[in-house]
Amino acid sequence: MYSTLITGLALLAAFVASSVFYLGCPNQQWRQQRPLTFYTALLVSLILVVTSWFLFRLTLSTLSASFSVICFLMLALGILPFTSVLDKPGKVIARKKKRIEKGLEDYTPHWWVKSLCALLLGFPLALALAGLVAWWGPGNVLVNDKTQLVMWLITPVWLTCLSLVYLFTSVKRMLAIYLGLNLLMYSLLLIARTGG
Amino acid sequence: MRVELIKTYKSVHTWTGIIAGLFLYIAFVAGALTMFKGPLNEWALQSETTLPGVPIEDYNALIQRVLQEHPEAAKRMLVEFPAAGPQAAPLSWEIENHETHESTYWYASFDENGELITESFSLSTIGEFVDHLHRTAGIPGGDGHDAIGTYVLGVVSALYFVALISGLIIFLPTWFKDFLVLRKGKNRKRYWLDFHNVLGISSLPFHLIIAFTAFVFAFHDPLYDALRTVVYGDSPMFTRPPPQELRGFSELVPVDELENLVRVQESEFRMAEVLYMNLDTVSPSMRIGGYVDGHLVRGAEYAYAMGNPYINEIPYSSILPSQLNGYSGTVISIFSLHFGSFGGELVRWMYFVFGIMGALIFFSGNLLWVETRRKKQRAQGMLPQQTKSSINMAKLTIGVGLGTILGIAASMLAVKWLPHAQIDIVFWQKATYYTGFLFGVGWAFVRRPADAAKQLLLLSSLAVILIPLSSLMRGNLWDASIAVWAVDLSALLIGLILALILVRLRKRHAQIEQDSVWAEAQQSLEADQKFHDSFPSSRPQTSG
Repeated sequence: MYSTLITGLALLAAFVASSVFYLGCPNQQWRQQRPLTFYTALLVSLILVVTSWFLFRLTLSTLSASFSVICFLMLALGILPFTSVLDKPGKVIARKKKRIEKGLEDYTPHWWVKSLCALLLGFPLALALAGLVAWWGPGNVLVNDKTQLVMWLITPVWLTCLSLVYLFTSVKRMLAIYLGLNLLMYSLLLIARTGG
Repeated sequence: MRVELIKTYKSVHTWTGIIAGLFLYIAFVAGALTMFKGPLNEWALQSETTLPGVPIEDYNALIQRVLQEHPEAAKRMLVEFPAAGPQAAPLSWEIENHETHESTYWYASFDENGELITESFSLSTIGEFVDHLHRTAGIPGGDGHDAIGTYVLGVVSALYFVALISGLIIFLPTWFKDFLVLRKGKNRKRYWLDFHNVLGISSLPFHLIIAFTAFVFAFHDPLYDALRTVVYGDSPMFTRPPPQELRGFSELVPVDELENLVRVQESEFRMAEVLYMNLDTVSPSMRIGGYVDGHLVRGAEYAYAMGNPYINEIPYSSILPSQLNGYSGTVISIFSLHFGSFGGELVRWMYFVFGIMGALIFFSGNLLWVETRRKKQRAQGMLPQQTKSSINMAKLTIGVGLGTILGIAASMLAVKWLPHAQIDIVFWQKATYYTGFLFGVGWAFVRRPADAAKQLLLLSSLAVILIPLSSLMRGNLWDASIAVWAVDLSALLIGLILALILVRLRKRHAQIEQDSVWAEAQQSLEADQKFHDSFPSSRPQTSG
């Protein structure tokens, strides 16, 4: 009973927090005139989020409470826009800043080179980075939990390398960076393995 | 950000998204249901294939009797305690035929006179089947961890990760204008793009975690192999307990002592199951699973501790919630964030909603793909021919989207109505799923997309509503647990929501322009066209 009540209050606080944040957003679609400025809304909702966290913390562990609050906020922010009453955002003074610039001449995407580079050079890079954690990270090399973490590290690093590779505008620079980093990482790994 | 790069990333997003989208849709719908695997399994239980439970103090005797009379159970034997909720039997084991790789399952318990009953039957466990769909998207071939579908979904997950980052990159330059906005004007593409963005941006961290964990779940063995070759070399990666001499089954540590052993380190641990492995070899092992409320746990439901079932200690306990170190804490968090096992039922429900929202992201992504490729009708002009690819993609999206729901509903209906004791229900639940799914896809291809959408929606909402009705008719609802009620009530709710979507779709369809692949029967009458255009639509047409 007690824990249900506490959880209910925690959810309520998190819900109000996301609603306040939504109302403060420049694109809110609840009121013609935005009732709160962005920073006021942010401040109020942060206070509510912290309150919600402390309430969750009464029945959950620290990690559980943190993840629960974050998950609930993500859900609420994903669903609140669907409760909008206006067909388009309320009035805002739009910030006029041009974020998309033109002017890369002779640009070609180089799909194959970039994709292959990220796949074939990105993976060893991620592997070596994980390897450095294995040899130099705190604690012995042989700790079961550590080996698992090392394995888990490879994928996010590799997939990030893969996702960001198309940001390069020059294939030469891309190859230089990927090859250079690989060379560096594997030299370090060699040092680590031979007793650095 | 340069405009050329945005264009490049748009292509990256489009192609990774369109390849991965429908696989992910199936995985997400099934994954949302997998959050309630336990309740689903319980929902599927039939009294003919359920052995009586035994009180906790009889478990040791049961384990000993089974191992005496069926020593083959020593290879892999699962003991489930009353804390785990209603089960088919307190004890079960699996015998794998080495040639066909097919498993037979055996179940054991005591009858009221304390005599051992052992039976082999195929148990529905619809929850496991839904989980299998979640992990393979229903792609047949291979079995267990080596299922082909697992590897396909692994690759799909990598594409999904790239799609997420590229989606973020193309969103960022206009984020101020597009953040959490849902413009419901006449521009249908704008609406679906906003819809796609709101869901995608708000739950981006969740999706990034799901994407990379799914990749690792599929490919952890090759990753460990790579680490062994490149990083560890001759130095061992894991501590392995030294082989011990063979021991008699009677020397197994009694299960009540096991629970106490774990409780020394995790005081609120409630033991739910013990999985024994290789008891008749020199390297026996066990995995003890149990509830630890309010904590982050390693499994989808249970916290785990591992050890040797003949030794009175728990050597590997660093994955118990209160024994976490920096390394195991991070690893356990990653697992738990995929499984949604960090806050009990509440978080399971949140993950269920995330799953459905995820499925909607992929669905709307496909709609956008179709909409972007639409050939616009010029004023007074002839009705343009839509490209084959966009018509096919529209059909595929409708077929897979509704076929998945239809298939799962058909499978659940089969589980409810067929007598599990007489037939191989595992086969039938699979067969009905594929029938429903393939029917959905097939139907979408023989009809116009708009008609197929409406007809399949009608069919799937009827099928889903039939689920609670069947439970009611089979008459086993009255003494059922809350979990079983929740399954039926949720099915009712989902069925009604599908019906509601159908009603809205019917209203919208009158307003869809003729140059859309979603248009009703083709008419190129100009007057008709003007008639349609004269309807101001306050809301966008939901075209799927």
